[in-house]
Amino acid sequence: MPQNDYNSSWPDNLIMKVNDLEVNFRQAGKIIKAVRGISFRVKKNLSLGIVGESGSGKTVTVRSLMNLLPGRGGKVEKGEVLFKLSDGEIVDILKLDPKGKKIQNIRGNEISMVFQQPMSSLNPVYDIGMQIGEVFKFHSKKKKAEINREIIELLNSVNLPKPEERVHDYPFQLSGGMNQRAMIAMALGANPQLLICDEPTTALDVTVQDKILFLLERIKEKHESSILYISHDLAVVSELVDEIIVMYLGEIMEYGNVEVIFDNPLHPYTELLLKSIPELGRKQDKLEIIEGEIPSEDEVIPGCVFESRCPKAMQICKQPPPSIEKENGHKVTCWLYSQEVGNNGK
Amino acid sequence: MIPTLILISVIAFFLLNLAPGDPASAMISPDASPADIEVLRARLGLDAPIHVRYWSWFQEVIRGELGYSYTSGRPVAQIIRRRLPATIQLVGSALLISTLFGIVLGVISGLKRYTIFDNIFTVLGLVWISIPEFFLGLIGIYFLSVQLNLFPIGGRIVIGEGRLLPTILPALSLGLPLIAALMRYTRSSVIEVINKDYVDTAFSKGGSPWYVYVVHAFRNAAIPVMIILMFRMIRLFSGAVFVEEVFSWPGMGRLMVSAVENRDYPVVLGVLLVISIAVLLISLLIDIFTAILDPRVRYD
Amino acid sequence: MESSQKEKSQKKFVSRFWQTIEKHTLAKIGLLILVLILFISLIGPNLTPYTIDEINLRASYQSPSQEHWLGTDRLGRDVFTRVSYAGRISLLVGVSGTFLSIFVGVFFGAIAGFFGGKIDSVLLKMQEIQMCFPPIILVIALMSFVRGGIFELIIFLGLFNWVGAFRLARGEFVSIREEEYVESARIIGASNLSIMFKHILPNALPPLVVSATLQVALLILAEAGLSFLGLGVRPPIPSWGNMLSSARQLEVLRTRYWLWIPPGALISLTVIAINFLGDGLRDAVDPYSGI
Repeated sequence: MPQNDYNSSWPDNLIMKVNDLEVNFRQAGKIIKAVRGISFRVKKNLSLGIVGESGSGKTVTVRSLMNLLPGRGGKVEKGEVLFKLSDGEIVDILKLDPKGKKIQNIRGNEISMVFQQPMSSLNPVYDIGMQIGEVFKFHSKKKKAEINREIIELLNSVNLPKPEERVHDYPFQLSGGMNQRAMIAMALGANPQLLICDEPTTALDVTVQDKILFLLERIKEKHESSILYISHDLAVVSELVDEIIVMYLGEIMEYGNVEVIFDNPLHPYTELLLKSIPELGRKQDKLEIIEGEIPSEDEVIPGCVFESRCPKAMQICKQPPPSIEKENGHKVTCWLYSQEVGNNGK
Repeated sequence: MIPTLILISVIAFFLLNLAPGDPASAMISPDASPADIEVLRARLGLDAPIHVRYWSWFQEVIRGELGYSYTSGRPVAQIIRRRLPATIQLVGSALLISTLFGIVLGVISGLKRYTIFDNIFTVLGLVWISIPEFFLGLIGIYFLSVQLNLFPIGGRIVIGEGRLLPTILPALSLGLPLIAALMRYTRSSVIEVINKDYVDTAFSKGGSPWYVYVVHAFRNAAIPVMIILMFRMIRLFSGAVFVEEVFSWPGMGRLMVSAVENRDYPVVLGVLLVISIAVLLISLLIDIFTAILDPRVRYD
Repeated sequence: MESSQKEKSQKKFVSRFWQTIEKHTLAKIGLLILVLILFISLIGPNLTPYTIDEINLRASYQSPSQEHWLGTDRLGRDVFTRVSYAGRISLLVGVSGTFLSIFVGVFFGAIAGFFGGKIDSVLLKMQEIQMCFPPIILVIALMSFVRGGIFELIIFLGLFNWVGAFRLARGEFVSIREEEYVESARIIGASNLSIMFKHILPNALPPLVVSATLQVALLILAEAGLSFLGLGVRPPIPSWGNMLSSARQLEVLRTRYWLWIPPGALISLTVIAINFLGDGLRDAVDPYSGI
């Protein structure tokens, strides 16, 4: 088992450590800070949700985890993504050659991803059998017959009816929901340690959304993968994940166990997000709308990124807020909880 | 395709009737005896109303009987048949060379967007599409044959006799504008496809760049290029007329030009008909090829 | 209230248009070359003491010199004078032929798109047939029936190149036909037909302009080719094409470069310039067409 510096302090229950990740985009001459320096951990067999509005940097973050950014104008400025491979070796994914063999061995095999738009994420000219089969082609030495069997089994496990026939179908012959199931099957093919789902239900019908979520829950129970689930919908995520990261404008606002956060949201942004979820059975007078303007993409923000819209903003918020850890790993990035300010809620 | 061909034949017949001289009499060999002529006249219905005459003319054409040349008296079908292979060889080679070079250069330009290579070839493409084929041919002849004595100056040697060389210069002159067009459209198609989601998906599964580009990107990029090819390859036929002139290539283009100069209507119309059939056939081929590439077309 | 929105978007379009043109190096080069060529065509013949048909057999086949900047041809005529005059001919045929083709194309395209149904099917069928025949071949064929000159040439070239404008116009009218305000206008009365022309055509104008520009290049090439074959502009009127045809003789090709290289080069330069300009126009009108 290859050893390096990282091994010495690597806790057993972690599969991934992200440290100080910063990602910038260049668009029409302007530099846009998509991710402004975030750190988090992905634990074994635990699922983590990343929640935020569009523009929060959640998609950019997860794409960086597999170094899938090049070619879209995005560049990782700083940071490390440390990942423990199944053979025990710990690598910094960002330092691997994006076109090299090592990262090809990780993608689809150790870490895989389910994308947002199932209709456009599958190649229209190849049948789904072939496209799922590619995972086996890249990462195993199995023979064709065995691969075909495994594909049908996979499609069964994602509740795709009549998989023997579906295997020869093209994406345009299937519905969005069925395509998404095929994508999930594709992502699970090599039994990855980490399954990343980037808003997989956003492009689907509400009824289908429920089914896919249910499917993912079952997968969570049966497989040994950790799930990293991205969404803008806090309600959806809460059912599925164990821990949550709340992101805003490229920074992490709050992080912790999902139940704890729902019970006791610390960050003002999280509070507002929770309030904006309409709850069944409760009469809503009005939906809390978050006021204020989002700063423009290339604006340099000296302090807290949420300051311009925060109902509890103070003078000191114009300086970068500290990350405070409460009990049980509940972290929040906010001046409200700093000792220096004096007043802190619990 | 069939209805189009029928319509074309109607128009051709109509044009034949416009021309001075009796159209159906062009169907009669000048060697025929007066008795034969009478028989033929009856069979062709020369005194009959026009739609009957059309029908009898049409039947003759179907049988491959295209009438007789006004100038030489020989059967048009025979004349065309002798000239056809030369033009097929010319247009075919040009099509092959252009498709190969055009697509390859376009793919490279698309993958290496905005590099020096790309910029140079974009400008070159605009230049190549602007120079008339006959001028290109003349320049080619001037430098390569006259100055350097590399290629034979004119005429054509059948491939079977062992020399492909004479075809290269004419085919290149004919095909250069098509290379330019294909380069341009392949480039933009490749750029569009590379940014598609399914390419990301392929990478996320762990595919190597080589595999992803060849298997996933290339096939999708080729589909719109086929459609462009279908529109553009017709210009190969008009270009062939000029290239054949310049290189003294014994094909249908030169035949048509001399027939026009001599007002040899049966030959002119015969060539037109053959060209339209050739165009339709090639379009059909490209259609089939597109259907192979793109399953969506098959299921429509 | 809808029209002011349209005006705003039109103004934005125009300003974006000029911005793109200004940055487009190739288009500017093309425009420059075109202006130069136009200048030579119009002023050139007047710069020399010769006329285009001044025959002087004693000065036959002279190579370029101070008296004859581009030498003389077989009949002792000054090549520079003829070659610059020929520019007028090529530009004339190119531009007027294009105008005619646009006129015919838009006319039929509007009818096909607007009325739809049977009329549309018939016109589409005609388009299909037209696309089997390269226009040049048709013109060549037609020249066997009609002994013509420049006028006939312009008419034929204009008539057979209608497909481009047809598709653009038809596309515009088909998409508009399905809009609601067309339905209501139809109920009000057919006099609104002209109002629709005023609304619909401006949208089709930018791509039409691009298409027209490139069409001029095509027609110049077509005229050159036809004249080269002896079927276009006939002597003694000089055209770049028919001046090139002298190179069909090997002697001329080998030794008398001044007879065929200038006209050939001028055809090429003109068409290159138009295509450079057209590339810029295309980018300005639809930034995603070439990327």
